[in-house]
Amino acid sequence: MIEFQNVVKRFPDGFTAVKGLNLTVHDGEITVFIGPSGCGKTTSMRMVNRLLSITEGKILVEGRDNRDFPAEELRRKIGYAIQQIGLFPHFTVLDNIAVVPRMLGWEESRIRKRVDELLDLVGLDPDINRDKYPRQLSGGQQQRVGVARALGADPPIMLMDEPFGAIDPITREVLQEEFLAIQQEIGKTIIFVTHDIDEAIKMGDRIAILRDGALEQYDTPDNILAHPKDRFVRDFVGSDRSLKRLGLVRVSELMDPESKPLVRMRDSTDKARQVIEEHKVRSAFVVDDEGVLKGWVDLDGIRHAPNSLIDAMMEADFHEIGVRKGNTAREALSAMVARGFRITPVVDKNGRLVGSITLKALQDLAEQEWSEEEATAS
Amino acid sequence: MTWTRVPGVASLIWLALAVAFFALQTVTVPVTDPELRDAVGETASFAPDLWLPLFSFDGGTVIDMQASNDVRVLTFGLLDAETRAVDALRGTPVTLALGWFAALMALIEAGLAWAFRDREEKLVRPLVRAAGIFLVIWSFYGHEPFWDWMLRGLFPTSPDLLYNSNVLVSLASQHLELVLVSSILTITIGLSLGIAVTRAAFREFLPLVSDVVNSGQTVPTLAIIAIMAPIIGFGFWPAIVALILYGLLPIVRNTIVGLEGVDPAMIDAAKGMGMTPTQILWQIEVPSAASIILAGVRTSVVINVGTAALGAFVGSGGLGNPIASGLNQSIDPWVLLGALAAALLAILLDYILGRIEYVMTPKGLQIEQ
Amino acid sequence: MNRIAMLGGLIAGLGFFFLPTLALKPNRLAPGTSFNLFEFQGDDRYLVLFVLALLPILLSFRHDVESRGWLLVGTGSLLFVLTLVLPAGAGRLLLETPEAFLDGGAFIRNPRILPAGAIATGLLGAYVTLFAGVRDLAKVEVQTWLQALATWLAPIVTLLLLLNGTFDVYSIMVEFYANGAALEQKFVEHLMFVFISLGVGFVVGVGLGLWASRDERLAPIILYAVGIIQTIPSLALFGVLLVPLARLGDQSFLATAGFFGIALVVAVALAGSYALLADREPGRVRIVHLIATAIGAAVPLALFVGVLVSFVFRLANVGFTSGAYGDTTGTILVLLLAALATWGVGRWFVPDESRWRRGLKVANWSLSAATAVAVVVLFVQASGSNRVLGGVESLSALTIRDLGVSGIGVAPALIALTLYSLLPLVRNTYAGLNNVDLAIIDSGRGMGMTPSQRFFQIELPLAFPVIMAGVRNAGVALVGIGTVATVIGAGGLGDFVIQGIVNTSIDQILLGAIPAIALALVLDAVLRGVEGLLTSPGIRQVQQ
Repeated sequence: MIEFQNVVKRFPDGFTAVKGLNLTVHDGEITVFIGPSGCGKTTSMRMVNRLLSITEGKILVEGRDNRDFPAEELRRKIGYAIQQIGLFPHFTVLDNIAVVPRMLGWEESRIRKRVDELLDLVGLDPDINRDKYPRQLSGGQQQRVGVARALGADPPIMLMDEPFGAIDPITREVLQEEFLAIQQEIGKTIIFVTHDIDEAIKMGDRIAILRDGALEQYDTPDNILAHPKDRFVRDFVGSDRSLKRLGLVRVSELMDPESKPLVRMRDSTDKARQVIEEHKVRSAFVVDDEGVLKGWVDLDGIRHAPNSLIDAMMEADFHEIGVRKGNTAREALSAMVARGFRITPVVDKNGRLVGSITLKALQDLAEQEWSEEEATAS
Repeated sequence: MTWTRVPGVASLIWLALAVAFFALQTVTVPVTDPELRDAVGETASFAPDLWLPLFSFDGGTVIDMQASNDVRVLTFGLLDAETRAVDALRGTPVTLALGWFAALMALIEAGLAWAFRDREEKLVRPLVRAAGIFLVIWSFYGHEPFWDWMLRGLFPTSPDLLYNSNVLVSLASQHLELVLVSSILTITIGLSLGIAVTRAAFREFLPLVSDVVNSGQTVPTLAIIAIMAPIIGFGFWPAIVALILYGLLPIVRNTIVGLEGVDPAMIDAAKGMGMTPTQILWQIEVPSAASIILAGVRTSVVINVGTAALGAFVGSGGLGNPIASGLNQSIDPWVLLGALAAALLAILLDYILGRIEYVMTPKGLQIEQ
Repeated sequence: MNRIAMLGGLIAGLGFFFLPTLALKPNRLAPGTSFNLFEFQGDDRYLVLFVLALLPILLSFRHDVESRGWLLVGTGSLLFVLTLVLPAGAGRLLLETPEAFLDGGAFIRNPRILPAGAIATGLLGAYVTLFAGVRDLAKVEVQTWLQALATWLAPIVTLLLLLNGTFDVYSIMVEFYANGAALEQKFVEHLMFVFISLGVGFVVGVGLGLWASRDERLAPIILYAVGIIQTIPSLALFGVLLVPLARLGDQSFLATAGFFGIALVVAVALAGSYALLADREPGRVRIVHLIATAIGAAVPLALFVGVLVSFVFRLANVGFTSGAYGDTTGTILVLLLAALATWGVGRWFVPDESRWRRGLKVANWSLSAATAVAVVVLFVQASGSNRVLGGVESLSALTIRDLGVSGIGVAPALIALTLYSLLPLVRNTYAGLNNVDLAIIDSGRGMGMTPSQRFFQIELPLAFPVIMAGVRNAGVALVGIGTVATVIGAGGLGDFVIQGIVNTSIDQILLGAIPAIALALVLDAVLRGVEGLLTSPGIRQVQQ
């Protein structure tokens, strides 16, 4: 647990970057510090491991004032990853990750084991990458090493300053996903600084929005999107926050596992017509014997090929028409808008149909959000 | 804003100097050097008249070399020849008291301050100022009673004070002449060579030229000057050839580095806008590389001042002469006379070229630095 | 088409056509009679050279790059070797009956063969041709070791022939045999100039560079000061140093030591007050304070370095070259080799996790320390010699001159060379340390590295290649400037050059110049090698 108590940071030139910050970072959570540039988010983070001194107030790290420790000792217990990555170019990957363990005096054999473990964790093959130099790696690989290095001595706390900021958008998404998966496993207490609200919503268990060195709102992403405290926060999270909020909801939470207008490929066209009418929909999904989604059939199709279901069905790969259970509601909406569906099939990772999600369900969610807001506004 | 930028301060300083020079002119010092005493009398005024740099362009003095193992014969030979060559110059300075010159400088500075009153100006004024300071130093350097007095103070017991031939200004002129002639040739050749090998037509020679330029650095300057003497002969021109050869290295290297360092995107953009190769060279490449090229020119000229001093050993004259003779005959005052002048000349040229380098760098590039 | 090869062929061909190849001198000093390649009558072998010289022009039109490259390398190498070998044969013939080729009135005594212009252009042409060939090979990506072989074959063969005595007929070799012992001595002197001044310059220069990189207000002043030194011509710097050093030499040791102590106290006081007060002083007062601090520090530093460098040279000169301390010098050599060996074995042959590593490290450290101790022992032994302190009776009678400081001689040479080495060292140290990516230092800090860990593990290794480039530049420059030291009676290879000028003997000039050039090239290569060995592969690839 990290606790900011009335923390003030004033620089020698008189600029006050942080004005009395009070905030508690909970154990095992990713707490995102976000705000426009100059809001004091990085400054606040850098005071935790005392890369910057605290002018007034104090920061408790695991219940103790962080000034009770010698600065170096404190920093060795706190992982640190930054946007510029800052790998030591003259060290191999192994030496880079081993920096803190070596300073802590670990046995060489233990260090090697730990390095291999960490490389595995961040998805790099230890045998291939251990002895490479940073400049032989791509940007994404470098940041993986950067994260591994921050985890080197298994610190309970990590500070991450826009760690994925300098990486191309596609790789960034991958790294974000991977890091979330890693965090599931390691459960560190993390302060994560970013200026990208989408990243904040995606990564954060809690988001602290800062403005001019003061805390504007501190809550879970869902609550911030649903109940922005004031106009600043509302502007900051953007006018598409309903959409963003859909991004927080998983398809599995909205889908209807019962509503499955499905026919098997061996079934007759009559059966298909019957299913469609029964479910009061326009089309039915066609699955094979394994239950894997193969395409769909509608009444038009049946009219043109009344004898064979296979002739009548529109063939399509489940990758194209289905959404996965783990996808966000936002992605489901996007898929429906793109294909003009009012209903879209939900599949598991093997392509088996597990349910469906309707446009109506998504609309209901958004409406609920708006009405809640009106309620709070009035 | 520092005090040097306050308008008029420079001209006030010149005025103060003028007063000081007039006052010094009334101060007389005793002359101890017997030869000088014959020429100017028992006492002389402390402050000099203005000396202008005089160029002889006689190409120094060719010595009739006689077979000998003794360095002294060489330098004594030089001394005699030097004395003959420059004796005529003695006592023919421009007859303008230095005080009047300083007053004139005050006027010029005031005029310039007025002319440039509302814009920043970094070339004309520093150069005018440097030229004024140079002429003052030059005049003091050529004023033998001044040296006689100074050196007597430093070396109370030395039998010899002033360098035999004793016409310091002509030695300094020779030196400057060597440096200027060689530098102009060096810059012309070096720039052309550097530009040529970075053009598409001659680009294949670039690695060869770079290789030669880089390894040329390992040849000692003294060796270059020495090798020229038996091949071309003694005197002015062998020294010039040696100066050019060694001075070429930094200019060619920096021209290549500067031109190769120009952002290819910029050249591409220029091509896209329809500029011809010549336009690209003069409007884009050379201005972008100007600071690096000029840094090379500066290094080259400063090296030339030093190499020209070594020219004394091959009879090219210059400020190396009193140093070499003084060292040979253990007459410390001579060494000091030559060394101080050569050092000052190098520092002053370095300063002037540094100013030019700064001013010729396009404004947009200065901001980066 | 390979126009570089064409250029090479033109240089060599025109040279052989228009310039004399050899000159026959009836004695050591008289001017000689020149012979063109075509004047070696009755022996067509010499025309081989002319054909070889023109061959690259024909070859340059070949289209197949790889075969062209190999043919050019072959032609260039052959031309290089034969340009030296064939005229040597002709020279031997000329020397058999010199009177047949000279005017009747010539005074013939120990006639000599002087290589003339065409040999120089021939070698230059061969070099250019070889260069063109190796470029072609590089273009088609022939293995690097083959390229290296192609480059170095001709020089190596030439060296072997030189050792074999094939070129003994040339006057420069005659001069070499006549002056062999002196050359060795001058070479060692020159080497000691360079090493001692580079060593002291390294400590001072890197120190100043460090200081500059730590205090941005001081940086411009330090860089400006060392820049000014660089602009002063070498001859003038020797001259300017003459007077103060002569005066310093006259002082008694005790008085100077006392002055040094006071200057040191003043310097420390100034630096201390600056460190304490600088932040609270208004801008201009601070600048004045800063300049005063810099000057205050410079006085004892200059005094100490000046005396130290002169005294160390004297000790090293007596210790290593007098031959009286063979045991100690032998021990130093053995210890040094052993230290290098343990370092090399530890680095290349023992894996990281091996438990031998620690032992080797200890061995390496103790051997290095032992080497240093042995050098100190040697110096202590040498200081007992009469040649060091000149039999001074008591400490109060000891003058600074007895420690080796004087207006002319080795002291001003060493001090001037040390001063000249400062600019590249200071500038590169400063640039190297200042250019270390701030993000890298920040992550070091963030991971809990102490300031000294950051400096030794991050900043220094990253700045190392830049600092070493400064050392190389300084070293190469010092070898060249060292030749000028002869004029203040310090000796070194410049002695031959000046003698050569006086005698108008190009042989003597080259006898001084060629070893100096070779020394500069070898020093550059060795320092490059050291730089390569000690630079992490992770940053080495970017340097090239």
